[in-house]
Amino acid sequence: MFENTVREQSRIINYLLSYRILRTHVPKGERFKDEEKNLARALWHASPDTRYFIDEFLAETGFRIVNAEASQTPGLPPGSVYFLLIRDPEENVPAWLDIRHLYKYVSLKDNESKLVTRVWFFFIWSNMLTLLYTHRSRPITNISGYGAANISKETLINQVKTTIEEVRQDSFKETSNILMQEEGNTIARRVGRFLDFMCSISYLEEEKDGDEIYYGQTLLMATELSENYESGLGYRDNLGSDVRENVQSNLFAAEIQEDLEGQE
Amino acid sequence: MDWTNLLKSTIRLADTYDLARTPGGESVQVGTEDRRKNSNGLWFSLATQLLEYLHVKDLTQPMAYHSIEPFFENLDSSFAAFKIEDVKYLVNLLAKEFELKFHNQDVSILKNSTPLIEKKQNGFRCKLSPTGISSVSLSYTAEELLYGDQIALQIKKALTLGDFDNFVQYADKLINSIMHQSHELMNLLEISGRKELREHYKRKGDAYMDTLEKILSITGDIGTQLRDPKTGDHLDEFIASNPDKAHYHQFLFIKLEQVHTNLLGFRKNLSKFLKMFYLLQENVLPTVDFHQLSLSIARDEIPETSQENLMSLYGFWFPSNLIASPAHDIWEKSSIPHKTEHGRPMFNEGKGTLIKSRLQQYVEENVDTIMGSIEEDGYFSLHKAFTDESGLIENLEDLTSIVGLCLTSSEIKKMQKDLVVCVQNSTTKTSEIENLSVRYHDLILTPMGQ
Repeated sequence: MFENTVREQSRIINYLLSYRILRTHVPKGERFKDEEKNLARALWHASPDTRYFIDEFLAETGFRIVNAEASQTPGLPPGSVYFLLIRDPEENVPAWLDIRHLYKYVSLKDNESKLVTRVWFFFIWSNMLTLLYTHRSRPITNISGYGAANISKETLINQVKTTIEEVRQDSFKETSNILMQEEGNTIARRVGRFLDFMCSISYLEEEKDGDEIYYGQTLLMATELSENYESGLGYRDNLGSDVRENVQSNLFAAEIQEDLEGQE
Repeated sequence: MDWTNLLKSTIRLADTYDLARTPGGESVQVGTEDRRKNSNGLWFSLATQLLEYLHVKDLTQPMAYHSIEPFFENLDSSFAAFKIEDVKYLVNLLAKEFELKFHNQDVSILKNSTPLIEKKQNGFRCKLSPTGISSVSLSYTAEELLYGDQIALQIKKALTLGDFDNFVQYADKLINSIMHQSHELMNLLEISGRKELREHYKRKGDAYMDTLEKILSITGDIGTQLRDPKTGDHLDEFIASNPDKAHYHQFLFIKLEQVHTNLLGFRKNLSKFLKMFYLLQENVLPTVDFHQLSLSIARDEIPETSQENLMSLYGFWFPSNLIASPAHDIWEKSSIPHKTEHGRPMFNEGKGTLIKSRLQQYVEENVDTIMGSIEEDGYFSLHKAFTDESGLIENLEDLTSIVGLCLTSSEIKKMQKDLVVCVQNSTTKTSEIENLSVRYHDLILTPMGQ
């Protein structure tokens, strides 16, 4: 155990910003990441002042830590605590957080436009959520269901293709040229890159079952979706209304608020 | 009584008992065969209510046979279509001996022990059989934690008697009971429905808290007893005759610690649940139709800006973006990824003139962007300079050292104004200058005199 100096606190913060999950114990057969064990235990045993400093620092930059304890949450190793770093929608988006790297990571070509990458990313993302939640009739608040929620690459590819076909056959509505023009095996490549990215931000983790590879939802993803759902996709109180309308109205409201703040 | 728990396990196990599969098959898929003709649960409900009725009767008049007519007359409206013959049929069914073959066990005894009800030779007066009584007691398992102090006392007694195997067994029983109910509470927090169970926890919330306090007090005593040298002697004797259990020296403490941490976890979940219940703030959100969202995207109905905002909200950033992280201001420099792109000069010492020349070079190369930003916003954020692979900030020990650094228009071609490095930070308004903490994204270039 090391002293809780400013340097150690910053190491904890850096670890959380990098990996977003800090674990005091790991499941059997898994290994700690570098420094994870010491940092997690230091945070768990941190004095109230130290913890206050870390929480305040993170809040300033738009994040907060959610503690998940094994005694309260299914699926964690006995006696363990998982610290999850999630975006705090109450706080502003930090200036340094941008999604440029996401574009680099998930685009198929160097010169691919951001618009194309973004539409594809967002489309695959919503299809993944369809598989993890909608098809399983799983409430968005059902965090502990993360353990059972996994997908295979093939299932996601099929889901994406099925949705595209569904839209294509509905000739009464306009369709996205970006999605409809995709040819060959590029959908599979896009899904592959998307899954890699999701693993790199600790939203999914690879599960090997014999020769099969599945992608399991992590506790972090389940927690963040549940905690930030109302601020993000914006279900709010309009249970009967269209999801799309909620997305638009809430996000436009956020933009207007940002504009107002900018003018001040 | 909570028959649901008993039903879940019993029926699933009965499925395996009745399995039509021949050993050695290749397929792993469960077929579509549905042997259950009445899946509305009414027959099961009738059976459990009958057992409960007989149980209550048994408490008032032990071992006596009871009439089923009062039971039939008091059935609620869900059973409107049922006749007394249906109840009689059920009595016959539950009283009938079925042969259940269990691997390595005596079949003849089991055959006699399968009925849940015993009825008189003639007529339909009946009572619970011994198996029926144990079924009823099994249905109490969901409330076990409410009586968990009794299990804690069993653990304590096992320790006093030097019965260390039972110590472990009872401790596991208590841990399982706590975990089961802790997760049940978590489900109530995450998923809607199960009103009766919610009411149960609300009604008995205080009783649960009392029990928890009692258990904590008993486990405190057990901890003291475990550390007692006499217990140590007993344990040494026990291990001498059971050498494979040498790990019990630590294991017993671990078990006690597990009881303790799980109790605290249950208490947190219960408090969270009761708070939610009393404040009437149900946080459960039903399933969202994400498929509709996918369709909307495919039809170009979601604005691009909304998509980008969502991505920022869910923090889809890339981990190697560390260089731009605000924590790097207080992070040891050796961990900053080494950057050599574009062959730009690197900061390798903190001398003012060198820093200035680097910054001048950067400004010179990006003068159009910088001047554009200044005209539009009044300033240019150096955050961009520090994060675009320029190497500008590498090994810079103290960001405050470049605050106030001036770049004059005479030094840089095309620059029409003299610029100065400033801090744009809300903390400058409130903090003393000695305590000022400067971060990468706080530094800006602004025209002098503004």
